[in-house]
Amino acid sequence: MMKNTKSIFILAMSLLVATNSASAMQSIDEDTLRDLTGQSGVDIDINFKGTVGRIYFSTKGKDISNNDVTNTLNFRNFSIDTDGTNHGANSDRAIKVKLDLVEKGLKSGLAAVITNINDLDLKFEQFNVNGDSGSGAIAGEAGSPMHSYGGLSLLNINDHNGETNVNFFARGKSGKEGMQMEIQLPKLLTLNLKYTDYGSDNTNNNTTKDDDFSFSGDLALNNFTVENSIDLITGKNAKGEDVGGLHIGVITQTGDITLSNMKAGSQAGTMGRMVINGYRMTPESYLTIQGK
Amino acid sequence: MAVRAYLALFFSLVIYPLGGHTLESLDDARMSNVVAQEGVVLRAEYEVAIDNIQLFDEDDFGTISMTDVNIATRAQQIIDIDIVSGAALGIAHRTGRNGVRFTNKELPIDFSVDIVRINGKSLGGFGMTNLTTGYKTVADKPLIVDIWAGGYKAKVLDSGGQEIPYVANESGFTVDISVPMKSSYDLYYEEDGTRLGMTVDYCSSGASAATCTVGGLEVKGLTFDVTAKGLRLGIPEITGQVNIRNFKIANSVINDITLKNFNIKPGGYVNIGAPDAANKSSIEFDAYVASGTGFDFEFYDTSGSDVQQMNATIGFNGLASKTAPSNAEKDFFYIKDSSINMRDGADEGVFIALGGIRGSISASDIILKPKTATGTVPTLGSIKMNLQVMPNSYLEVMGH
Repeated sequence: MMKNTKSIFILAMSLLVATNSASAMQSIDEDTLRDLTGQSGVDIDINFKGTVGRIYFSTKGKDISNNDVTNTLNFRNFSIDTDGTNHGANSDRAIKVKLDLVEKGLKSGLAAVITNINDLDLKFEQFNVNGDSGSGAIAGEAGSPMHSYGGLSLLNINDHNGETNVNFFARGKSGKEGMQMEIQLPKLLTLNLKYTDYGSDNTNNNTTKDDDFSFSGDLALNNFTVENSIDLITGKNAKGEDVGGLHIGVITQTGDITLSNMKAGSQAGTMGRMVINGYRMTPESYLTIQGK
Repeated sequence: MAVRAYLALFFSLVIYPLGGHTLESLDDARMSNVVAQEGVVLRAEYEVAIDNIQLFDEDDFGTISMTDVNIATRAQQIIDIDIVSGAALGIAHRTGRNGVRFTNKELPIDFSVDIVRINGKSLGGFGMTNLTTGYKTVADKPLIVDIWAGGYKAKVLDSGGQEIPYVANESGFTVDISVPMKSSYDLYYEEDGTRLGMTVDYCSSGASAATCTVGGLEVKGLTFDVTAKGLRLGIPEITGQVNIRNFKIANSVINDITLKNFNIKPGGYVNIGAPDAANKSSIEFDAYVASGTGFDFEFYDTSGSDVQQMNATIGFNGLASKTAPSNAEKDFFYIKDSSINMRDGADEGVFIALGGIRGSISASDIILKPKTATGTVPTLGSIKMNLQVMPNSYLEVMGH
């Protein structure tokens, strides 16, 4: 009897523990997860300032004489500064990233919560085609004449004490293969957008010159959310064309956009303020990327 | 290899939102050079909806808005993307330039704006439907857009006053567009249930784009730059023909119009910028059309074989003054120092202030003849108008 009681107790405890274990494996949404004290995961503080000299995409083909040619689209001098105001002043405000492995409904994957974006600067100093194969001074500046598309800067990116959620999920439990990417920007994300058109003056390297002019504006993104499925697909359409490739499907894309303080050239005034309310890309929209 | 794949993905994602703008074309020679290239193919179907787009005047406090904007594909859009060199492709006018080529066999895109409002008052809506390149078989040409690095070629003179032929290092964009002959689309403007509509095509061999055997439109040298005064758009060279068919209000046809034999002289441009005064907000603009620019204009009725049509050659020229004309006066028909403000108020709207218009407009060799007439026909004459609109003239557009 004593033995039976003990056995029943052990079985009951086992079932209780098993039940609790099963509960622990069920979905917990990220909001809940973030608030759990003692929840394991990885916290990262990022304080970074650096430059990638050249990123390029190249394709091979033939010229009109059937000679082999290689063409490159170059992204020159891509620089990142996580705190443009304070870098080097011993008061850098690091961007904080909290990483967790999570389950959410039928999906599971990696969830990142990004906060403390105070003054993030991202600069593409120059875009060009077939410009050069080196790094350092931007092409065309130091005695190597060429044309370029100009440069693009996203400056003073600020999350206004909000948080950015980035999730990469596998969708195995839903019976679908592939990934699901979810990006939820903070309620308000602001930045200064600046396109620079370089002039032909090349007397000074890497400094703003009299004939360099910019189009700029203050960009605000409100309640911006992007959810995409990412999958590799195959198949042919009714015409027999191969429609397979990397398939990016739209689950949700919504948000509001404001571009204010629009300026161009050396003019002191502005061209007004443009507001886009209720932007959305309809679900089932998609993009498939193929090679040739 | 992985890096390359990620770069391809990144590049494609950058281009994706611009899919609706990639209206492009190529001739056979150029197209054949692309076939063997590596590159990226994008296939997409999408619908973008926007509740409201508003432009605010920050000091006059008026607004112009577009409500219920919709851009959607009717079928799968296929875009080929290639990195190209003008020299390698043997494009004489682009030797020394490099860029990115977008090739569209088909563009099944519709665009609509439900209501345009000025200060909340409706002007009606507009849209574009049934856009097609007419691509059915490999014998048909696609629409191709080349976006070359570098903008307009500045006219720089050496110490002896001679033009330096090539200015390097400049950035900006130069766009060439080749529109195939079977392309067409419908445009409309609608208010209070009444629609002004038209079908636009580029065929020069018949009455229908779908059965066209000769035609198309080549746009070369559309440039985009930022200068001290703002955004500079260079007026491109244009060859080909534009037909406006089924031009009608509701079911009442207003006859057809054809524009052809374009002669766009180089150097023309439009500048869009801000006022040069702090805390002021407006859209400032100038437009300079190079002297000698023109095109042939035909206005005709397709209801019968013997109905009349009117032809004329339209031209724009500079208007030199008697005393020491400036280069602008000699070389351009121009609109300068003009601005657009959105004024707030019950009886206010978009206020277009004209700082000055100067130049001559001519309609030469005006002919009125049966459409099927051949040989020499009598000319009615020519009309030339020397125009000078003085500063402080204005036009104000309001809704009701």
